[in-house]
Amino acid sequence: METSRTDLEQARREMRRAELSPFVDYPRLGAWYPFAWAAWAAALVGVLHVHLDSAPLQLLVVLSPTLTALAFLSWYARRHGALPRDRRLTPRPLARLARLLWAGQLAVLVAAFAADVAVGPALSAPLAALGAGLVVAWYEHRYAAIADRLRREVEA
Amino acid sequence: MIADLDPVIHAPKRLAAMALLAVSTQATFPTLRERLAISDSDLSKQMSALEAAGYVEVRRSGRGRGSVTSFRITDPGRAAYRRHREALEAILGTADEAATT
Repeated sequence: METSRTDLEQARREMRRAELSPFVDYPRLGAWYPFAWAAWAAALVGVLHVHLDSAPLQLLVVLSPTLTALAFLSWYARRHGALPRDRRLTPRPLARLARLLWAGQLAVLVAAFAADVAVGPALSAPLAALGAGLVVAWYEHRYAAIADRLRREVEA
Repeated sequence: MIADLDPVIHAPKRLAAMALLAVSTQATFPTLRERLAISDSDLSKQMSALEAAGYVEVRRSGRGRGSVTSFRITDPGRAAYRRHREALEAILGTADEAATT
């Protein structure tokens, strides 16, 4: 195999660019996405307070946020074309950001739960919506900035 | 050490395809074509070579105009890619050290 050092360096650059691609080349979801998250979080709290006589209907209502999330993930995976999966190769700034996202969502969940116990869905649902929406809006903004920076670095 | 490089993966377009598939759940044909910036026929040729080596598997879903071809890296493909990646890094790392001493 006739391979020069320059060829190998070029191959490594291409390899690293391709490894980064699923993380930084992605379809932006737009301004509606945090609002959709907010609505979803409110619905998640709301369905836990719905009580129906029909058990199958009750189950369907309780599962509806989960089914909606699965449908969204399926749609987004098709739209993305190459959804990232290997966490070991996730760029560190994006892995750190993901940990902050989950920590933020956990904080919202705890606050919503406390509000639900103390007051009820009248407070917990809007609190969940506001908290989840703000956390996701911040995450999307930071993710886009980091992805742009990483893309520029690897293309430099 | 050059001998540690996998000849199937070493071709630049196949290396890029394997690198992308190694970090993805799967990748559709249009996505790979766009990210690798190559033609349909070239991508088909490269992916056929990887499939023949058992490094990727092909899935086709839907029919007619809505059909989608997707590729997923196999376990042997993932292992081969890791070995190739490590060999490449080792060669260039060694070369870097040699150049600085």
